[in-house]
Amino acid sequence: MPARELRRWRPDFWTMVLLFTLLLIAVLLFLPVGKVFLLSFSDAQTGEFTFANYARIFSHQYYVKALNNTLIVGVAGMLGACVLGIPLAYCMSRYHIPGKSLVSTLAVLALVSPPFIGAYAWIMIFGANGVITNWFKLAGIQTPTIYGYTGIILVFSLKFYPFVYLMTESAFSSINKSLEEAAENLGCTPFQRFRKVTLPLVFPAVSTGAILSFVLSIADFGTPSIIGRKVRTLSTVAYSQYTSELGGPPTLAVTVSMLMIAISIAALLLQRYIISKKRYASSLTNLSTPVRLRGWKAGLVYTLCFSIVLVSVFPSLVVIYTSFLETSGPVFTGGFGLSSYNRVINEISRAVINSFLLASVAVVLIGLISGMISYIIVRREGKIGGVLDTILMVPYLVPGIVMAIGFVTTFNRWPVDLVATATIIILVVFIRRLPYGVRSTTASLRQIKPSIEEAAASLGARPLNVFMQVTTPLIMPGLIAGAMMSFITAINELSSTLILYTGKTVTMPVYIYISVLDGEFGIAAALSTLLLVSTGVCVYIVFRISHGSKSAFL
Amino acid sequence: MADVFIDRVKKSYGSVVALHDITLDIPSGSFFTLLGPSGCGKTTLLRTIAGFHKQDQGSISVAGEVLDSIPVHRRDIGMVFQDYAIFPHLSVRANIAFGLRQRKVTRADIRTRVAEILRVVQLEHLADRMPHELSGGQQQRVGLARALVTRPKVLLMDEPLSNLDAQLRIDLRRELRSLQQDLGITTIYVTHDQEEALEMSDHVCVMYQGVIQQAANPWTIYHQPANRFVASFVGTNNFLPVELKDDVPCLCDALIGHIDGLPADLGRTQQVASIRPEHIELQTGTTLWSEAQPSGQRSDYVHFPATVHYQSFAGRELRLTAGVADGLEVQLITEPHHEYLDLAAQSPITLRVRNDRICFYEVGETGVRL
Ligand SMILES: Nc1ncnc2c1ncn2[C@@H]1O[C@H](COP(=O)(O)OP(=O)(O)OP(=O)(O)O)[C@@H](O)[C@H]1O
Ligand SMILES: [Mg+2]
Repeated sequence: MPARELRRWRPDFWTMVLLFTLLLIAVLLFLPVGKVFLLSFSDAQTGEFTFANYARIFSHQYYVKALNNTLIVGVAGMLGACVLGIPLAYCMSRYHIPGKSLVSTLAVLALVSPPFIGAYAWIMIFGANGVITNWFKLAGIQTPTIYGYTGIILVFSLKFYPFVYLMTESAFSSINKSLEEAAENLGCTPFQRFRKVTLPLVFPAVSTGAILSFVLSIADFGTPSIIGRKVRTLSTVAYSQYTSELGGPPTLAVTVSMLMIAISIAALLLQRYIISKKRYASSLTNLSTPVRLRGWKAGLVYTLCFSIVLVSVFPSLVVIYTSFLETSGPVFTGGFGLSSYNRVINEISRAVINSFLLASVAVVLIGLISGMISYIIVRREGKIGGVLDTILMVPYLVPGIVMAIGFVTTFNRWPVDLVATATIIILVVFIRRLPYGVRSTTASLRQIKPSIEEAAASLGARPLNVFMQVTTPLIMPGLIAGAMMSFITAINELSSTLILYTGKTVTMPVYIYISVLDGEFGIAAALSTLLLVSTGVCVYIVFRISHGSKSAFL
Repeated sequence: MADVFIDRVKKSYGSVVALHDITLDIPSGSFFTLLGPSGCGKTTLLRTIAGFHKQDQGSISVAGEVLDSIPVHRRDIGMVFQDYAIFPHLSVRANIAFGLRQRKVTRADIRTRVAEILRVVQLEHLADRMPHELSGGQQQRVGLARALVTRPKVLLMDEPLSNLDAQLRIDLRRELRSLQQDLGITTIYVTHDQEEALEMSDHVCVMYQGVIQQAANPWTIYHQPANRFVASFVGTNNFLPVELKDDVPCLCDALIGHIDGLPADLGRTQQVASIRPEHIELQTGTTLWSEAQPSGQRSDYVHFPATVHYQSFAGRELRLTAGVADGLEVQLITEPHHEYLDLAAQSPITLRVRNDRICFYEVGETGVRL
């Protein structure tokens, strides 16, 4: 640009917002992730460029095993989610099921409750000292262990199947009935028909849900750490590596982190590639209407649907139940009582307050900024909207542990030293959950005709006034739904906070994690119940705002 | 009040050229209509004037002030939208007050001006309704009131009536026009309804493929179209190929009589002739006019023997399609006399047209008039 034009160039309001957004993303996303990337190629002592970290990881049994484990539980968790999610979606979309909305609400609740609660609830039931284990012990029967692969995969399957279910259900209901009928006419058995016609048609939706389950499975820290015992995954290894490298640059921890990011990206690209190969045009005509079942078939289908969702919310019910059991220290004394809650109030009210405070601040920030980012994504001419939309996928791909390590290794000295502050926890939660807010408001904004905003501008409203007086009131439902979703994930955040917290900034999930490791199940249950209740309240608000649409939760 | 001057404006979307060197001078206080088929660039031009997007080249000025670097909200140009674009979260009153609030007009002034404009558009009884409680026509009135209450220099309207039903459109045409005349506000109006354009406008600008075909008053547009496109787009027209027979131009083999007052260079380029349906007169039978005409003497008319192909009675007029020569058909409109109504298909008839009613164009979609 020639100097003369440069002087004339005065950015308008939205250009400034765009620049600010790009700056924000650069500092809070690219800088920490880039730092992790660079650190993984540098020597811990000299800081010189080296491949030694990767060489070391790929030559040590400890890391290779963790990598294998991660892939095993990731793939198995994903398959488990499909095995539960696809039949549930099929039954829910094709058959008339009494209490349908109860089933989907329970599935949503299973989806939004934190996975580590599931992990330790299953331990309370099937663990070494679990309720059911002890029953069988009385009968002299040795039950198979819940620790290790079994437990992790069980928790992941029950936690992530709602993704597959919610995505696939709408795909099943929008299949053109004629296609299936044609297949039947051509002599396909029902099973062949399902495999050859129906399944390929819902494949894009299934694969999206499955990949989401896979990415979240490999990123999860709480579950393998609580129920995995000797089965270590990359996230637990990264965490223990990080804590053992404290003091020096955590080169091995970040190298493990890079591995996790690489796996996530590879999975996403794979899914994109598969979908691009199989693209079917679907027409929304001749939709199938749910069939009313009779006799044993009905019993079978109802039992299937309800047992899937009930088993998946069972851990939460167990947790709530145990939170009302009387304890003395870590020991349940039998009978009901509020001693766990008393201890929470007297000993660890700080964690409760922190959780709500930190999550609220992060969510307010998300609310303030996601509307503006959506505006740029939806309204701005040119490619920048699409680019921004894609960039906001990145936080989904960076596990919490990795993001946290990125932040502490980036913002640890002058001019920005955030180590051990509440700010760093808020910022990590903010950037990780920003995509939820943006996605929700973007969907809302796309429903609003641009002419309404143009009308405001032509009536003399400045861009900021157009946004505040016209756009914002109109996207408010999306904004609130997005904020609630961000709040749910923010208040349940464990993995990143575990790396960033100090005694002053401890949160409920961290305290639950510590209590579980210490065997303080009473306190863990009371705190988990608080989390579940606030999560439930948010879910209720989202349901009210989105008029029962479940897409807000994806 | 303000005149609008559009100076060599160009605008393209990628490879699609939407506006091609548009130059227009719109007089202050006039009702100026952009007319053209879908996709010809009307909306693009209007939105460029409003400032919703910037032209690639050229400049736009209002009342002598160049607008090019002025953002939408400071242009002081009102706009009425095709989809009404009423703020759904604000009441009728608040919708109308919106522009005044942006201008920091005092509360008392806002109240009186809103009340005044509500009276003008006859919406007083609906002032406190929400937009979703209004009909389409009422919403469009709100849109109009909202744009007018700020007393903008120029009012832009993009097909404001196209989503309304037929009768309401006709009523609102009158209303809009008389309101515009009362206020004397320069108005640029977009439509693809030619009747609307001719009825309401001081000036009509016919556009096609991003190019101005003709800008003139409605009478000129209709009776002296600048080119073949205008002739075919505005009103109905019969186009007949012109052939040379012994250096004498003929409309078709069957034509009887001479065509008077032909342009000098007629015959050198390929041409078509146009005749408006209402300019064709009809006589039953084959003889009357042609026999009445003394041979060798020049006549003001040309005649066609023809046969009836199809006729439809539309109440106040009769529309008739007639075959004049092999494959050629003409449409004509005449009074619905009984004797015409009784004509069976293939009955022989005679048509005649006054010489000076026939226009000639170079061939090609936008061939110029000769
Ligand atoms: N945002 C856009 N991106 C790309 N091309 C566009 C865009 N808007 C308009 N066009 C193209 O520019 C040309 C002119 O469009 P415009 O909307 O001005 O037509 P119009 O005369 O208003 O038509 P209509 O009567 O259908 O409203 C068309 O070919 C159209 O396809
Ligand atoms: Mg248009």
